[in-house]
Order: sequence, then structure tokens, then C-alpha cells
Amino acid sequence: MVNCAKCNGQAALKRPKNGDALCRSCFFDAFEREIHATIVGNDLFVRGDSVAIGASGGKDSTVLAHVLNLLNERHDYGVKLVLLSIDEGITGYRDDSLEAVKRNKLEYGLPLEILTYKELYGWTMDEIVAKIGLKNNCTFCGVFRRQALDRGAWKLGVNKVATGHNADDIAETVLMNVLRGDIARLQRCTQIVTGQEGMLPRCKPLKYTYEKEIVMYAHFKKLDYFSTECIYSPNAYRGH
Amino acid sequence: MSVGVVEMDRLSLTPKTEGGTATNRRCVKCPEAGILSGLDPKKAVYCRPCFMQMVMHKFRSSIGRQRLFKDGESRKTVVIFDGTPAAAFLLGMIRSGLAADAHHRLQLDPVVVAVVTKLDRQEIDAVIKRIDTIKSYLQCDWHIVHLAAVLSDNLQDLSSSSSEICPGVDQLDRLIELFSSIRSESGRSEMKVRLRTALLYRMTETMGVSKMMTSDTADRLAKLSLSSLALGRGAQMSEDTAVVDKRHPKVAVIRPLKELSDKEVGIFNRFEQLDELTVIVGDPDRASPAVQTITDSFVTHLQAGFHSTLTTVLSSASKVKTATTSRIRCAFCFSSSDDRFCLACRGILDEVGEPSLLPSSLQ
Repeated sequence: MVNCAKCNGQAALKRPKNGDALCRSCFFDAFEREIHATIVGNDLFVRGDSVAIGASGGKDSTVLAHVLNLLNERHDYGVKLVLLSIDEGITGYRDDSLEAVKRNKLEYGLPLEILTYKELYGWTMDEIVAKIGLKNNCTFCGVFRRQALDRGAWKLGVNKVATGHNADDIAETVLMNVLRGDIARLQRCTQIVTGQEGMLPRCKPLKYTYEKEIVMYAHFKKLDYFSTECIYSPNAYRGH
Repeated sequence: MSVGVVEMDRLSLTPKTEGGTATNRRCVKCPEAGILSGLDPKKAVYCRPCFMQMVMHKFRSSIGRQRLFKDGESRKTVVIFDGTPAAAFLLGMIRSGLAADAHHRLQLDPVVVAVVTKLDRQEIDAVIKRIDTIKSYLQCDWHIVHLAAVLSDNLQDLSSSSSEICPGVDQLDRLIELFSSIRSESGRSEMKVRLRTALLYRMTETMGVSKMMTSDTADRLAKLSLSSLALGRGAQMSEDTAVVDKRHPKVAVIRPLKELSDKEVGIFNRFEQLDELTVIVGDPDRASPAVQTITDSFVTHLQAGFHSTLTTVLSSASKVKTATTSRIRCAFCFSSSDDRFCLACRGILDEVGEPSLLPSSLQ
């Protein structure tokens, strides 16, 4: 029997971040504590903030919603949280993940707003792909989604947006920007809060959280999320 | 050897036709048929003599641009020979450069240093014998040393006549023990590289020489950039890939082959028969995955599909500098640091299970 490194009870897992053997509750504790430290250490929220959580129904945003809700209560951040979802109009992918978000809303009791590309831009991603083909569509979608989040946030009257970008995402982005020679993006992409000039600040509370740990947390907490990747993603440069 | 999309016939070194005759294209420098290319076959093709000229010119201009050997600066330079085709190429360039007429002669006084990293005594002997046969190609002082020499606290001045054929072999067991006490394959790989660099710096400094020249090609440097980034050495990216790297207070590192790819070097070597000057001085990478080997394959694979990968990575790397204003230099790698050792070196030193095996300067 392997002992939990913290409490000496029976270990249930091995932490991907540092290989520690931990029992479930010590893992939850460490995971939540570290995110709390990130939030406090980087002054991500102040009392009275109204924050929209970019919620796709996937593991990152589901865990983000769960943990922010929990920490907000536990540490009395005094922040108002809402869920904001964007429907790009990708059949068989987005419609299913949105069902997961709706279940989240019910579970956490948080208000939910859904915006669609069709309403905002007059096009669904399916229609865009049909027009421009399978290459480069991820770039378009990313740009549209960012703007959509801003619009949704404005509509909701919030003053901040929180997204579920994790450590693996940031590492991928750094590598991708080096490979593409995009020095300007390289400089901005590791910032934990972006978009302050004239736009709504967007923060990444999960910036230092490993993707594997997010999956592990969601699994052991039995959180409800949607886990298939976008049908158009095999063609993105990021995939390489 | 051939990494690009234009497949070369291995014997004649002419390209296999790929979607239309490659030989329809003309050399970009003269009216002859264009049959050879550098990194990107879609950009430039050359006839054989123009290709050779292009490669030689890249080497000469890398050095010439730096004005390293003008203005009364000593011309004595340690040339690091690691037995790779790039190292063979460098020897070839130096030899032909020194043989040129006065007006074009390479202003460089070479001392060759070869670091052996093999861990088996018999293999070490074989490497030494092989290097002995290569020595005569470039007439100058040659020093063969084993990596283990870095573990001794006193590195004698190797330019003085030493009875040891390959100093450092006496510390071999200690080195083997040191490597065994490191937990990960990535850690072992990284330690090997750092120790080797530290050894070369110390040797060069002890010899009273202020410059050392490596045979790192664009491929090697691009791969190094990405694995360094993954290992927490992102701040050192621009120094690691600069043609002239002055982070050490006494010794400058020169990388004249930065603009050349392994592919160009390979073709050149084949035509000039420089392949005979190669030798394997170390053990091949083990099967167990390490950050460095995975990065190497990743870059090679990416370059095959996206031809500007190497140049873009090097260009990005040259623009990434540390923001620190600290004047302290890491005692291991000599990069900017906030403490005796930079964070990345602290990490690799912490991985050693038996710190007493390290030289006192690193403990």
C-alpha cells in the first residue's frame, strides 16, 4: 500500500505535476489551493467584480466553473459569476457540448448566456468551412470566438472574462509562436491577464494547472463534461 | 542525411524527379542546370560548382561579418571537433581557408580539441586511434580529452606537454557513477551537454585562448533552441544560437555554421570526400525517451513538411532575451542569473543523486 504524501492515508493517485502519491481529498485540496494562490498572487479578482466564465462544456471550462464557484464561496472573493457560452454552429460537436453546459448551469445555479455565430455574424462554422475549405478555419473560429466572448460579456454587463486555458495550452502556444516566428504574440501569450487596452480584461486562472490534473480532478469529482475534439481540428497547425 | 522534400538519388546525388522534371530548372547563379538545393528546393537550385561556392561563401561571411580576427585580436582559436559531418566540414573549411593566398587567407590560428564522451574503455581507445588518423588532415596542435576531466578540480594546462594521451580517463568511473545517479534520461542528456560546455570553457581559458569555434549547424541549433525552451532555458535562447556568444567573461563561442543546414553540409562533404574525417565520439541516445531526442525528431519531421521551420525557429530564438538586469553569471553555464546558479542549472544539479561526485566548483 502506498501512503498519501500529505496525510499518510491510502494513496489513490499519483500527481502528474510532481509525482506525489496522494489520496483523493489531499489531491483536491492541493489542486484547489494552487488555483487560489494563482488568483490571489496575480490579483485576478477584486470584490464586486462581475466575471463571465467562458464555458464550452469541455473539461477545462467545467473544472474552471466548478473551482471558481467553490473558491468564491470558500474564500469569500465577493465575485458574481456567470456562464457564457458561444455556439459556433458545428453540428455534432457544439450542440452536444452545449447540453453539458446547460447541465452545469443547473448544477451550480449560475446564470447562463448562449451566443451564436449565426446571430452575431450571420454564419455558422459549418457554413464557413463549406465556403473556405478545411484549412485555416481554426484561425477564423478562434478570432470570431474571442470577439463573441467580448460581445457576450458586454451584453451581460460583466467587467471581466475568465477562460479555462491551462498550462499545456500556454506551452503549446509558446511553441507554436516560436515555430511561426510570431514574436509579438510570443511576448503577449504568457500573460495571465490580457486585453486590457480598451477591451474587457481576460484572465486565465488555470494558467499553471496541468491538463492531466484537470482531467484527473474532473474524473475523481465526477464532473459532467463533454470530451470529444472539434471535428475540424485535425487540420490546424497547432495539431502538429 | 537528406531531410528535404526533393529526394536525391544516393549514388549520383541528382534529384529524383518529383511532379515534373527537376532538371528543367536553371541554376540561380549561372546558365547550367540546377540540380542541388539548400533547405528549400522551391527557393533556389544550383549547379554543383555554384552550390559549393554558396556553401563556402556562407561560412566565410559568417566569420568575416563578425570582425573577430581583425583589429589586433589574437587569431588563436580552439576548434571543437566532435566527429560529426559538420565537424569534418569545419576542418575542411579551415584547411582550405589557411591554404588560400595571402589576400584571401583565413585569419585564424587553430588548436583542435576533441572531447570523447564514450563510457567504455575499449571504445574510448578505438575513438582515440581513429582521431589519430584524422589529425594529419589539419596540421596544428590537437588535444583529445575525455569528458570525465571536468570532474577534477585541477585542470592542468593541456597546451603543455602532458604524458597522458587522453586526460580525464582516470575519472571515468566517477563520471559513470554520476550519470547513474541522475533520475531521468533528459537529465542525463542535459548534464552531459552542460559538463561538456563547462569543460571546453575551462580548457580554452586555461590555454590562454579567448575564442572557441563549434560546428553547430542550423539543424543542431534549432533543435537546441526548442529543447532548451522546454527545459527552462528560454532566456538563453538568443545567446545559445548567436554566431558570436560572449556570455563567458574570458571565452567567446563562435558558431560559423549557423546558416548552414546538415543537408548542405552533407552534400558538400560527399563531393569533397570529407566523410572520411568523421568519428563517433559518444554513445548514441538511448531508447528511453528524453526531451532532447523527442525534440530532435519533432523538428526533423516538421522541417520535412514545412521547409522554413529551421530558419524561423532560429530567427525567433535570436529575438528572445532575458529581461533581467542582474550582472551575476551562473557558475555552470555562465548565462545571466539571480544566484550562484541559474534556475535551470540549479534544477539539473538537484537531479544528481550523489552531489559529492561533482567537482567542487559545482557543489
